[in-house]
Amino acid sequence: MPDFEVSVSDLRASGPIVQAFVGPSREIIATFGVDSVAAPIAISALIDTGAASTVITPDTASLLRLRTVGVTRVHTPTTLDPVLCRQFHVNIYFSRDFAVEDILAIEAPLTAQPIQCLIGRDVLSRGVFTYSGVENLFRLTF
Amino acid sequence: MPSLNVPELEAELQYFNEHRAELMEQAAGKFALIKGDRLIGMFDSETSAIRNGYQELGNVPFLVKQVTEVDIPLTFTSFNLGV
Repeated sequence: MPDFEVSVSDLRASGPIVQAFVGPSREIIATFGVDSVAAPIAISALIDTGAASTVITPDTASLLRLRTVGVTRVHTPTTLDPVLCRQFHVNIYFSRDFAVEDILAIEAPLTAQPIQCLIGRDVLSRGVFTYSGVENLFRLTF
Repeated sequence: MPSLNVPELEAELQYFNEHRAELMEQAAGKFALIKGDRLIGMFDSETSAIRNGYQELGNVPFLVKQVTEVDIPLTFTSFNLGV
């Protein structure tokens, strides 16, 4: 099973941020061909167990030339009423030879941190996430 | 449902909302593929609906939406989202 372990000096301060790539989904590549779609781009992604879905920023969606394939309403701590967000079909690459494929990510700006992606519970539902605060490390296994 | 911030799917959302009741009678729980004011098809899974969208419509905006009585919003409990 693919296993990704990240060790940092202060996990409490930085949070579980992983360096990954995001690109068009397997379905997009299969339909249009790898030469006709945007190449995956590097991102910093925060693993967020409070996120129901994976999130990418508008800039990321634009760079990948993704087209909207759905919409969904989201509740956040700062919204009184649900907000309508676009959905895009993507792959998340955790290494050169392993991706979590065909994720329906929502588009939203991300605040405060230099991250371009939230890894949500849709991706986490396909694996095991271990967070060890005392060891300052976290692990993702699929 | 507000649709101001997704103008490219305004027609599709309007179609879905106007036909939700009849879609519920015919195919509750399935995934509708809609382009403009046209229902392209109903599918058992989200991925097969999206696949058919790309294959039949090309790389253009379209709406894939599960047919349910009400929409249940996704929840985000952290402050990371800027919406």
